[in-house]
Parts: sequence; structure tokens; C-alpha cells
Amino acid sequence: MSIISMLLPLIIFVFIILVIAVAAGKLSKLFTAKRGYWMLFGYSLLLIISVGVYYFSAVSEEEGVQSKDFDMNRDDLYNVLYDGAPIESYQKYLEKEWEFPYEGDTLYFDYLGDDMNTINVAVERYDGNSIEASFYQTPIYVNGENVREYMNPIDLQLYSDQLVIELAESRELRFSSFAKEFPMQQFREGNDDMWSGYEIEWGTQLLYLRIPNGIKTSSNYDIYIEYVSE
Amino acid sequence: MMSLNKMSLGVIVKKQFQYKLKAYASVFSSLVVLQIIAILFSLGGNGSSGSYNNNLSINTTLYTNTSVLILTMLWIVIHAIMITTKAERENGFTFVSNQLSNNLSNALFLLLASVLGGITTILASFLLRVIVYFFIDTNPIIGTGFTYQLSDVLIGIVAMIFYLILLGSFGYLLGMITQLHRMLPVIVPVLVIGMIITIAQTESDVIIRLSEFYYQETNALFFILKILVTSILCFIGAILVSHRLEARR
Repeated sequence: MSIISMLLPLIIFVFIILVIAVAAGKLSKLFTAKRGYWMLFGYSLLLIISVGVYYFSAVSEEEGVQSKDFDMNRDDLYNVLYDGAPIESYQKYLEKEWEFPYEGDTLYFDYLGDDMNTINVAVERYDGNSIEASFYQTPIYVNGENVREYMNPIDLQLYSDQLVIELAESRELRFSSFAKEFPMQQFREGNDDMWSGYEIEWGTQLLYLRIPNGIKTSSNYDIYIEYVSE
Repeated sequence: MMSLNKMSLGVIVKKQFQYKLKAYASVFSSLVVLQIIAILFSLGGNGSSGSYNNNLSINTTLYTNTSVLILTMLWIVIHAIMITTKAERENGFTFVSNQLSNNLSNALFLLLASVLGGITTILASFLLRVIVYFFIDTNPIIGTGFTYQLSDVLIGIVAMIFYLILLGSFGYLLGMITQLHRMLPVIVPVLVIGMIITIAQTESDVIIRLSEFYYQETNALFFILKILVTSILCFIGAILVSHRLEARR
């Protein structure tokens, strides 16, 4: 198997060489010198037109530039869960807020929707009489461009003693990307870093709940809950 | 027949070069056909990636002009080998000439082919982008690989031309060596392929080091010097081999 997989590129390579050699032989009979040069001239004209179209139409404006808020060192929301980082320092990532007055003794958590898209939940106890919920999402960069706006946020509903986390439906994003050809990188430092044309930096999500002291919590589903500030 | 003494080497080379421009016009038509085929292959994208997390599925299709680059490089090597065949060498002697003038005119022809191949390869990147943008892919374009600055284009053309000169001279030397013996056209490709297999099996980094020698040279002057020196050595080698071929006739 390994020999076949090793030889296959060589066989294809030899095949391409043969095709080029045969095509060159056939073309020499098919085209006179004059026709050959007319062909080259026509092709060159087409290439020059395409350069003109590229620079003088909307094509060159299509480039997805790196987001102005590109922040490779953005904070990770997991720091709130595991390192005791204060949620106040993540306010710029706040997406949505809810508040539910609640007087019950026990609160049950449950999921609704696509359980492929579960979310981490941080619970903080406080002296109050309502459940305060905040949803945080750090940016997601695809090739340096922030695509957070395309994400569907979660929703929350309180039904009697049940706090239902309505998980977002999955969304598919399709992009095209282009890579500059290697001769264009020739005289640049670090040109050996071959870029695959695809670079993604996933963000993190967190549902932060503030629940009054004295209310027992229970999860009847596989919900990851981390109790912070305790 | 006119005496060689009555014509300078430059005049002979010029006449032979003019003759070869007519005789080898199919070299350029094959370049056009190959590049168009390579562009058509590239329209489907050269790769795609997908990733899923946090209810978001991200799929990208990557477009590059690599197929045109690779086929153009193969094209120059193959044509450099083809012009060293016995029939082509004898065609070169249909009028007053010698081995040196024949080799020099071939070198000039390969130089011209490299220049045309280099320019069209880089400009074909624009054609690919325009076709994909207007006719093929309606997805948003993301990333910074789409826009060409003028410096990208100029660097790309210069580098590509010199890579083609390097490959053309190597192909010319290889072609000339294969003419030394009737078995060599069979033995040399087998040797080359055998070496590639051996390098792959021993996981030797010799090819990587060789490509790094040229590709990782960020100084333009040194890059040009490295390629010119290598190419000149290849042509000198080819001239020496061709003299040996002539001595055997």
C-alpha cells in the first residue's frame, strides 16, 4: 500500500510529462509559427484584460481585510471558570442579558435544542431575589476576520422552577480564500511558512448566572456547571 | 556554403535564434494550452477545509494558481530536453553554424521562453481570480491572499522567470546528457525516478535543502546570482557534452 501511494505521484508526474510532450508534438503539426504566435498574443491579451478587470472593478475591493478589532491576545472566558478571573473584566464580550425574578427554593437547569452546541455555565451566588444571566462570546477569527456576528446566540426561558437554556441552531458559513503563489513570497522574510489559506481562531462562550443565596440548583441533563466565587 | 570566418558568432547566433523562433513556435502554443488547462483545473479550488465549534460550521475553499506554476515548470523542462534531440540539433545545422552558436541560440530561446512563461504564469493568477469572482464562487472572500500589490506582481514575475531559467538550463543539460548514448534516454529518467524514490525512502532532506538554497534567499541580488551561476554552469556542461557529441559524428 505504501509503495503504491509512493509511486502514484510519480506515475501521475510521468503521465503529465508524456501528455505535455505528446501535446507539444501534436501542436507543432497543428499550428504554423504564425498561428502559434497569434495564440500567444490572444492569450496575453486575455491576461492583460483580466489584470485590468481585477484592478478597475469591484474584484480588488472584495478582499476581506483583517478586522480592526483583531485581538490575538483576547481573554479566554475559561479563565472565569477555572482561574477565578472576575467576570467584570469581560464586559466587552457581553452579548445578551436576562433577569428573572424568582422566589422558589430549587432551580432546575435544562437544555433545549441542538445538544451538539452545549455551553459552559458559571454560577455565582449573591444576595438578591432574581436570577441574573449574561451570555458572553469572544470573537472568532477566520483568516483574521471577525465572524462573531454570524453566530446565533443562545436564549433563556424560565418555566416555573426550570431554567431552560435554548441552545442555538447550528449555522454554516462558507468562504473562499486565496493564497499568493510562492514566487510572490520570494524576497520576504519567513517565506518558508507555507500558508494553507485557512486559519481559524475559535472564541469561547460562557453563560454567567447570578443566583440568589439559598436557592438549590439541580441539573437534570448533562450541563457543565462551575460554581465560582465560593 | 558560406565560411564561418566571414560571419561573426553574434550574427550566426542571431540568425539561428530567428530560425528557432519560427521552428519552435509550438513551444508557445503549448504554453497557452497548458496554462488554460491548469486554470480550468484550478477553478474547482485547490483545497477545502472545514471546522465546527460553538454552533458554527466554517468551510473555506482555497484557490491558488499552483497548477499553472507547476505545469509551466514542467513545460520548460520538457521543451529544454526536446530541443536537444538529435533531429532538432541537426535542424540547427541547415545553415551555417557551429555547436557553440547552436547552444547559444538555444540558450537565448530558453531565456525568451522563461520570460514569456514567467510573465504569463503570474498574470494567469489574475485571470483565475477574475473568473472565480465573477463566474464560479459566490461565497464571501476572506483572508489577505486575494489582493495583489504591485510589488507582489513584480517580485512574482522576476522570481518565476529566474526559476524557469534554472529549470530550463537543468533540462537542457539533462537532455544533452541523454544524447550521449542511445540507452541514456531510458537510463536517465529511471535514474532520476530511482533517486526520488531513494530520497523519499531514506527521508533525506536533500531536496528540501536544495529548494531552500534558492527559495529562502531573501536578497534579490544573491537569488539572481545563485540562479545565474547554476544556469551558466548547466549551459557550460551542455556545451561540453555537445562538443563530445560532435566529435563522435
